Amino acid sequence: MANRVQCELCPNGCVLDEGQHSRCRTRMNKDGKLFSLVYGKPCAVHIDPIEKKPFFHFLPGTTAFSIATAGCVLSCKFCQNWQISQAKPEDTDTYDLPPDKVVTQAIANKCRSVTYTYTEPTVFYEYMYDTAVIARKQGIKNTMHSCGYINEKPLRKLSKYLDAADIDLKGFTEDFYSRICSGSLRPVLNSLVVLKEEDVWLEITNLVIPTLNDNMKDIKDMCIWIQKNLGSDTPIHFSRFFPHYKLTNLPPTPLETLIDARKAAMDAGLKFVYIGNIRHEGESTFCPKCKQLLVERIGYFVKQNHILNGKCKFCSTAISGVWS
Amino acid sequence: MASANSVAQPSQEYGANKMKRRDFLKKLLLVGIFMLFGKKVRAEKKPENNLKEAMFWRKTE
Repeated sequence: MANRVQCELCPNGCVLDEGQHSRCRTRMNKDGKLFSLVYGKPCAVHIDPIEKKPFFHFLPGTTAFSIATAGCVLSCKFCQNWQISQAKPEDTDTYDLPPDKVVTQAIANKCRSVTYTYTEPTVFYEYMYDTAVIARKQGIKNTMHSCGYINEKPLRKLSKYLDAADIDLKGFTEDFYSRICSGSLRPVLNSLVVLKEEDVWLEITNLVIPTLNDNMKDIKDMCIWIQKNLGSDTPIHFSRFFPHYKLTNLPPTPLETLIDARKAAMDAGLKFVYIGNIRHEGESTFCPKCKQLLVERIGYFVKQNHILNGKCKFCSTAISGVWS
Repeated sequence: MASANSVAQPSQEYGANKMKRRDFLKKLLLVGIFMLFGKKVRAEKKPENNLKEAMFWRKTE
């Protein structure tokens, strides 16, 4: 086939004949060229607290102008946004919002950042990149919540304009990624290392799913890997699973499992370990040295913040993150 | 009187049927217009009309 093309954006590496669509549903071979079908056409546009992403060490208490288009590079059986992530672009209602308008709207709505989130931002890479360039020029931060399933070259290019990334580390075995997400673990670990090298502020989210990835040995191995490769200051969020999409047969994650995971992470040397999707003191930030409560959170809202100029107000220990 | 009534009935029924047919044709016309409009909207919504060349791809042999 003379007009065959290969997408080089993510590890799926879709090879497409004329007229074919990529696995993520957002790319198409037309006349021997690869095109994005979702540029400037988000299907979700919201103003969220930055804590919802979740970012706990990045401009706490601010709002993020959040956008997403249809599509995803993975097919996780537990997807919380499957109605849009597993949809074709033409099956979603979209807004006409080119990159410059995204930034204009973010400024008009007093958002400190634009967040590329909800589905997988890699699928709308061109839209995200162009928006990020304009946002950077206008003094607006760029953040993304991603599964990290992206090739190194595009990730490094994007990182020049990215201020923070929250990466879903969905499990710590190839078997989990293969069976539950139709993907692979290795590229995600590589993306985490690349983001760290590129000096992008990094937080990690791990959705703990009963029976599938709640093995404490795997969680401990994951935390040791994070500590060794990304540093002990890397915040990790253990999120509570609720039955969704194809996994409605499983119960919500018990609080005890999340507490055990948090303890395993702290034992592995991680300083900032959070519990999400449930009310618990693990939503708040404590000083790793004097153990004082620094940022008290209830859900997505910051109740009090005792970090001054990036330091603990009580003992002056530097707290990693982007605070202003 | 009874017979007069019975004579009048067919013409009344015929009149009613005629109105119904007219209403039906009106509705058919309206449905047709809406369908054409819907088709136009769907065509405009088709993602192929919002193409942007991808940044990372290559031609294969």
